[in-house]
Amino acid sequence: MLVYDTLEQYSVNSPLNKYNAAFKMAVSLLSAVFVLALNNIAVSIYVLVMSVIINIAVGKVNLRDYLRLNGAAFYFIIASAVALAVDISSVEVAERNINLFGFYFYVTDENIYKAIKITLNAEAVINAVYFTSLSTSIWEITDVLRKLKVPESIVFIIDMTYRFIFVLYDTYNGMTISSKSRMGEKNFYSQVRSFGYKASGLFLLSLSKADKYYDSLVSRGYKGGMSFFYEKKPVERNLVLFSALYFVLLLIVFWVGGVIGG
Amino acid sequence: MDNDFLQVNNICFAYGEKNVLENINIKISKGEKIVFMGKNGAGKSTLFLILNGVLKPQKGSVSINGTEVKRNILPQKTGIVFQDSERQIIAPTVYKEVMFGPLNMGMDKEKAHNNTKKAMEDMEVWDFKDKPPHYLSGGERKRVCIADIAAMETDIMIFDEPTSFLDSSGSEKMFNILESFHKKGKTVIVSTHDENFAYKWADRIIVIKNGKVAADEKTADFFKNKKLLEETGINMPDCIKMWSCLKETGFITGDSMPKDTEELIDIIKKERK
Ligand SMILES: Nc1ncnc2c1ncn2[C@@H]1O[C@H](COP(=O)(O)OP(=O)(O)O)[C@@H](O)[C@H]1O
Ligand SMILES: [Mg+2]
Repeated sequence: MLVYDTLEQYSVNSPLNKYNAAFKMAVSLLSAVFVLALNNIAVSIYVLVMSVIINIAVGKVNLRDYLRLNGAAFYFIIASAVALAVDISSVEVAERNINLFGFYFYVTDENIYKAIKITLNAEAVINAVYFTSLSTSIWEITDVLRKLKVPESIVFIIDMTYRFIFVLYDTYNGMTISSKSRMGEKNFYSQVRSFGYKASGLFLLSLSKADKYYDSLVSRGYKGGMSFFYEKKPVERNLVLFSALYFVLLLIVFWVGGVIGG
Repeated sequence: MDNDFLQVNNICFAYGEKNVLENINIKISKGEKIVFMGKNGAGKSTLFLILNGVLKPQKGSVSINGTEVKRNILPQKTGIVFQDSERQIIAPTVYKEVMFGPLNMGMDKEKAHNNTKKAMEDMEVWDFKDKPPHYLSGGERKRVCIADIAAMETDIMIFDEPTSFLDSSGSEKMFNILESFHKKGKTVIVSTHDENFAYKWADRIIVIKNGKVAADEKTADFFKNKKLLEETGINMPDCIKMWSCLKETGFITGDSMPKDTEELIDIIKKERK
């Protein structure tokens, strides 16, 4: 099944779908803001763990699908974390290092700590955003953005990006299978060539897809705003209480983390 | 004929917990024309990806000429043309796309280029060599995908639903392309939902149903067998339907089944002159 279909299906069928979209978005965004602004490992772990628990236990997302959805982002994050953690030097440095092609690749404790922190921050933000994505259809999300008077062109870009990331991710998977079928992943050299092809192929493909997508919108009367029918979803008291509790706990975690971490 | 050129031995496959293929056993001769049929989701594409080495079966093996072939070697033996060319094409230009397989196989540059040029000329896509593949028409893209595999010179060529996105003239062209590979001595394996096409082209029909082999018969025997057709949910080809009706009503009498509507018309003309 396509990753995009997975997301679309969950967002419609989720037990959390009945809650007010704007409220869910606010919780997701506020969590993300806390993670980024406080930049504290304890808070990131707290948000990450809570989001995963809520998405899986309450949102009833299948564990396998959840890992798959996280997989794509995870590779990017790990790749950038490795890039952050490893330094290169032309002279030998005292700490852990390996000598390759006449250069010393080394990692310091400080860099490792930095990389772990960034990985956790990024994972926490992504999983907090999944709380909304996996329970709210894109139409509701863009509707909220319009009510907030976000300019139509930006809403359009968000909508497109949202659709595209998953379509592209899925296409990338398809291309990898195709490449495997012609021995394109058999050794490092082939993999580098395949990756280059896939990257430029994806770019061209997304151009032509964007074209077609826009045509399809225009053909159905798109004039820069979309009109759909929404049912009103009130903000329930319990939801507010739970969310308040969640943020209070978050601040306590921050405070305790600060005390323990010195 | 050497009946175990390509052998599928007791293959089982599951995506996660979902069983897709169960104990598949198939033997295919060299140069045979095989058509796989069966409903969407039956497991045809999955089996093809196993034959090509992309997917690893939980059980069973693939052997060629009596020896088991490792997964990393399979792509050199069995080329596969995917159903959806958008999911097969990966390179930014048509030429690079077709060169991709030969280079990965370790052919030297010159041989890879010659194979590529020949395959592209045969498929009539050489003129597009510097174009980005995604801007070609559906039929042109399909032919690029076929050139992809032809350039690798695999003995076995698999086509996953090659006619599914083509118009009728495209289908006819595809028929001729498949025929031309057969004439070159390739073992050609095709999946299709088109019973008329299958009947006209194939030596043998294999039906996959719920992940099992539900029928494996010589083409004429399969399409004559009403009970088997019903069991497997495959339609009788139009020309056989008409031919049996004409025979039952005594309009014609001969015993040789026509291969297509044209042949049926010839039979009628000859008998009813
Ligand atoms: N990548 C995949 N992940 C999970 N299930 C899959 C995947 N690809 C195919 N399937 C499932 O495997 C079964 C067989 O699919 P497939 O081999 O494509 O059938 P066919 O080609 O005969 O239509 C289907 O039920 C399909 O949903
Ligand atoms: Mg298929």
